[in-house]
Amino acid sequence: MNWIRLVFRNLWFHRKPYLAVLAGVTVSTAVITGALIVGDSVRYSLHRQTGLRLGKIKYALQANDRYFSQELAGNISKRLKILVAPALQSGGIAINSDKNLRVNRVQVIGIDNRFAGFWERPVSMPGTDEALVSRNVAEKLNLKPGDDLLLRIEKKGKAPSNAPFVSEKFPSVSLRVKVCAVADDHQSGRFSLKNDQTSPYTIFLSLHQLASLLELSGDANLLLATANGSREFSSAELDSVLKLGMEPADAGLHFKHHPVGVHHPDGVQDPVRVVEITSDRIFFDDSTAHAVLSAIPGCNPVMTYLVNSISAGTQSTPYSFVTAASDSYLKQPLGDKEVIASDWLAKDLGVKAGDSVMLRYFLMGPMRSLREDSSRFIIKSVIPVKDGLFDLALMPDFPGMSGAGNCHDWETGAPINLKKIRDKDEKYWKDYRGTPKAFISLDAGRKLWSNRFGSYTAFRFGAREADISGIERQVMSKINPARFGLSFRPVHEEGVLAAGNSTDFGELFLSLSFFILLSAVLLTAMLFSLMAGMRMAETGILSAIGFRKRSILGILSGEAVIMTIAGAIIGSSGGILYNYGLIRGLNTIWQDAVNTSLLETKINATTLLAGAFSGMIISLTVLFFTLRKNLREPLSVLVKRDTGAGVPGHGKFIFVRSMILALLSIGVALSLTIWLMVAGNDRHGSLPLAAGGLLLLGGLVLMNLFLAKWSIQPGDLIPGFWHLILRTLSLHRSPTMMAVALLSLGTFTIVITGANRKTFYGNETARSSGTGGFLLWTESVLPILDDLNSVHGAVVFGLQDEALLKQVRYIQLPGLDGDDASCLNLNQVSRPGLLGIPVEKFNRLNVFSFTNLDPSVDPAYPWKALSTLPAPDVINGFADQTVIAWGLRKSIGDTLYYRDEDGKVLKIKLAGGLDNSIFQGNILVSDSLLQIFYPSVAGSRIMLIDGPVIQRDTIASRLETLFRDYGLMATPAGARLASFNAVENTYLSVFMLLGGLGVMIGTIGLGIVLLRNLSRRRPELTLYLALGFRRKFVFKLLLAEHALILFPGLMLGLISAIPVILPLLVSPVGTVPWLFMSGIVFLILVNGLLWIYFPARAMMTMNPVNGLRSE
Amino acid sequence: MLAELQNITKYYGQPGSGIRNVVLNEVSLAIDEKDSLAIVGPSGSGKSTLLNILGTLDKPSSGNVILNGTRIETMDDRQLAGYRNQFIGFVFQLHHLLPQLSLIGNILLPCLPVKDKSKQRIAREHAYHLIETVGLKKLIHQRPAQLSVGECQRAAVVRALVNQPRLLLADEPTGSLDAENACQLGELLAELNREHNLAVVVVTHSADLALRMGKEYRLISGRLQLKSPL
Repeated sequence: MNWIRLVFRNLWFHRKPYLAVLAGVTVSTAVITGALIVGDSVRYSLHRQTGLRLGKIKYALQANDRYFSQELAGNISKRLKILVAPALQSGGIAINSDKNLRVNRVQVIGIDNRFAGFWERPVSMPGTDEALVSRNVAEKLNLKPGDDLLLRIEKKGKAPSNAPFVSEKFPSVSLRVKVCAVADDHQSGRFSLKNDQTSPYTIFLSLHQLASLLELSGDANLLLATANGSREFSSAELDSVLKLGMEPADAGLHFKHHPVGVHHPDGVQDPVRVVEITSDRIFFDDSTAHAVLSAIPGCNPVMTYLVNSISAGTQSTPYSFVTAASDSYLKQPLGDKEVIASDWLAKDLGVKAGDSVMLRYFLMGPMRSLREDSSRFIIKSVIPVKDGLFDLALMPDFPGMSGAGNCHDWETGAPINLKKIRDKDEKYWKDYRGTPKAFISLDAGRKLWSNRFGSYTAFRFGAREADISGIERQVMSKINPARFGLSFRPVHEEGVLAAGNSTDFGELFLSLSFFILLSAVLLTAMLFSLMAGMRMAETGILSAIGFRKRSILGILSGEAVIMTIAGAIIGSSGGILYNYGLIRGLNTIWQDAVNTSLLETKINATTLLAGAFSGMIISLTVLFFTLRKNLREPLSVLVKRDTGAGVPGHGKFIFVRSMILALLSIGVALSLTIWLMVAGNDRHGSLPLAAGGLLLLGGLVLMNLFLAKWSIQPGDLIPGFWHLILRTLSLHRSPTMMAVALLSLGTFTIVITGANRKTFYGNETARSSGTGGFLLWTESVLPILDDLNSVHGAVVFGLQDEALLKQVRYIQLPGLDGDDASCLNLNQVSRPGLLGIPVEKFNRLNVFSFTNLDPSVDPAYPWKALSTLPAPDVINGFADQTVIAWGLRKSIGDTLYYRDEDGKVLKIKLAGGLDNSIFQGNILVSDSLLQIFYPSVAGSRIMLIDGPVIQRDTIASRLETLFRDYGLMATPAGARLASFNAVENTYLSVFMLLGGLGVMIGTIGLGIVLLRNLSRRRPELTLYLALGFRRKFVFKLLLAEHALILFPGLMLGLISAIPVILPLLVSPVGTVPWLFMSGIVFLILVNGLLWIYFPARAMMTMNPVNGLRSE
Repeated sequence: MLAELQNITKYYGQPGSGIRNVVLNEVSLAIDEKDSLAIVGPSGSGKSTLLNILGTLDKPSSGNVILNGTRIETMDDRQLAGYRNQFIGFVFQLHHLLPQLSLIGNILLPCLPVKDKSKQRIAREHAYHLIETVGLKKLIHQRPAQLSVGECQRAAVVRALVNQPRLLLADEPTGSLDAENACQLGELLAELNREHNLAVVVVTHSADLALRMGKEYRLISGRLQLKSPL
């Protein structure tokens, strides 16, 4: 006999209990390994999806509503020797009219042959009137190659559609195409520049055709680029090459050689020509204006504005252009209250120098709202309209106006009262078109008409013909394309990073599997302790025959190590199965949590090893401590003990200390609960949990003390039924308390998790709820530019014609597109979409609830904080607390970094965390501030609708019909919130399911322990029979004994959960899913009772004589 | 007649195998009040089986067991339990004191099924008397783990007698004791028989203990033979 042989003999002899220990180790290891593999699998799947959506694309320049020449791609490609493809991206609606199927929110992308170079498999290039559709579009619309498809595509002009006087023409065009092919995953079918695991619906058209259709021939708003072999570029490198390759037109600038020479007082023209710079966007943004002014010294900025009327007394001239220009341009000083009038105007109004005139003009507010304002000026001089100063070219190229044949054909963004237009006005338009009728000073013009798009409509300077191209280069050298959003992003790297930093599902599932792990570990400890207890006599004998304690520990440890290694090996294989189960669950029944069904299992050897190693370490630690505890007793006791029954001792000091701990815990828990109820717990989310935890701890310590008291209680009374039970439990206090702790902690967690499930039906109309009390949430593909609450807006969209819709109110939320930061996106995002909130309205309605607020925010009026600027370049933002914590991994007070439309850094301070709301995934900012920093954000695609609750579905249906061409979809606000809640609820369900499973494993453990106990206690049970107790009594005794573990465990868990769920119980908007929770608790109870009942029942069928023999 | 075994046969068989291991073969035994008898025999001869059948812990394959004039096969579980509680006292080779109870708790344990309070009171008084008799008074609040084996076994005897049974069945009661303790226990059993009108049946290997009993039976090959009437 040698040591190893002894160890293996022992293992074989005690194979039954060791099999149970092995099962415990296996389950622990499987849970750890499985959870870690889930983490690997999700990360791998997200990485893979990044590859699928980008192909070989490494960099992208997404200019959105800025346009540049398609040739720019060729310029960059030549310089860097990489594939660069231009594309034109827009949004749209796709309709299969044959089958009456429709997809709103498709991305329409114009591509040319270069785009095919990014994909592994050949991509069919769409020709004219053809479309390549992604697989999800084909499936959704039931399309196959050769089928017809109707598209409605958002049409954006080069001028921002919400800039003053820009025509409000219907912002979309229609196109009927034939499906040429369906793009699968490796053929750009999942193309998207957003870090999101869900694939957008995509339709590819010919770049040439799309550009022509959108009146953007030769232009693009998207550049896609590969790396140069293995050489990757920095964004700065690419941006510098971009800058070198850019022509003025790529920055929206146009240098016009004006036919008029530089004006001289003597009327002589010299070879110096007047050069005018204009912008596609009509108004020059500040950074471009600054670049022009610094590149061309002496350059004259001008601003020409349409005024509604110029009047003097009763005379009035309607709809005239007035130019604000500098003194140097005007060649005379002009005060801020002075005006130079044309002789035509002076004659029309009957005024002369020194008279005063009133200018009335529109100022544009949010959602194209107009406000008329006026200013009075004194006529300084009257100059003939034919003088060179009054130049037709000063009128900006307003779309819908410049090309009009007469005034009645004007299409402007402002209402024109055609009745006011006289014949002489038509004649003026015919003779002089939009030539200004008056000049005011540049300062006065800027003060009156500067808007969020800029302060100038043109720059004029004199230059010789030969110098002009040099000046163009000089201007371009001063322009930083990044300042207006033309900048490359390393989209592949960002995608990999976002996937890498995605929600750690390994960690998540380790947490979700916590109770299985805990149960398995406790079970292992319990079984091992039981077995070690049974082998006390054996260890005593070994000691007696000369084995050192260390040697005995070595033998038992050797057995434990072998079992642990075997368990770890089996467990890591079991982990693969556990992972398959979890991944299958995530792809199917738990799909709400991940929003994809494409998760694939990825098994890494290192993860398997890590799982096996972790399981081994945890189990060994537990086994080692169990052994040490068992071997701590003196040899004499070890030798003597054969039943595992020790002498219970409980020092007074420990008793007092435990009592203090119990009372303190319970006292603090109750005080905290009362304080939270009195003070309101809105801002103390974790304190109820702490109170519950303390109550649980206090309860457990009290129960332990109670049992300990029973173990030392003297008495000479006849032992009663409960006396016997309590004495027995007190004798086996450690396993008893372990089982009670497991059950109570499990129940506590399941109840508080269940109570956190988001349900709201019945309270979704409350203003404080996550819907804000709004009826509907609508999203449209095309922006709605007008204020629908205004008379004008109602007329435009026909809302005034229906009695029902007259009761409806619209809250239009302008927004800036970004990554989805909601829980529907697994990737970590850094730049979520922004949504502009009408602060005053929200404040007045006191809508939504906050879980967390920055100290600088007034809790009584939290929405007001959005209007304040904490610092000049910082604005406040709100988001759902879950988005802040999980989607962004930030805290209240942290800052998000954006680039505004001028390319300057905009910091958004997270000043408040909303309770679960319909805004999940967005950052909420003030709508006015959003429009200051992003003036081009036109109209709104998102609206909140208020109206009669009972008419909700009718309103939704009518709005969808009226805004059909805008691709509007109306969702009940409650249903939208439910879709977000579904994610959280799915996680909670997984947790409860796995937690419940863990507790059930715990109760199975309880059953195994009971069986083992019964087997050990056969003589005791037989003795009862011998002493005249009936079998029924013994059966009841066993049931009651174990029910005293099960029921207090459950009750303690339930009672401890009260402080946590109390706020929900008293909250007007809180509901507790009693049915679900009680269902789980009931299952645990029934499972526990079964595991108690059957072993006890089995025990009762045995022959009592065997019990006496078993000694 | 206090107890009687009539033609008791007991066999164990593996179901379906047809093999039967006959342990007791047509055994008959009559026990009167004040009887004290020892049953001896080699290990595995069925001594304990005989005792368990007599104590209603086991059932015979055939034959009758009559306790106090009543055949036990006519009794239900409640009546049998009542007989074991009031009529019979058991002492085993191992004391089987419950580790979770103190000595007094263990001794008073048989009083628990007794519903009649006056009987309980009497049993308690009797228990204290016996405790004093066997010299355990100072140890009543000790746990079994804190006592010697001899003390435990004496406590087990007191527990068996607490309801003042008329028949004491002892299965190898000295088997786990040293010579001195075995001698003391033998003396105690004999004294109980003599002074308390208690019929005692002892299964033992100990010749010394067997000699203290009035009759000695030998169980060989499943048959009971009176060894030497004294």
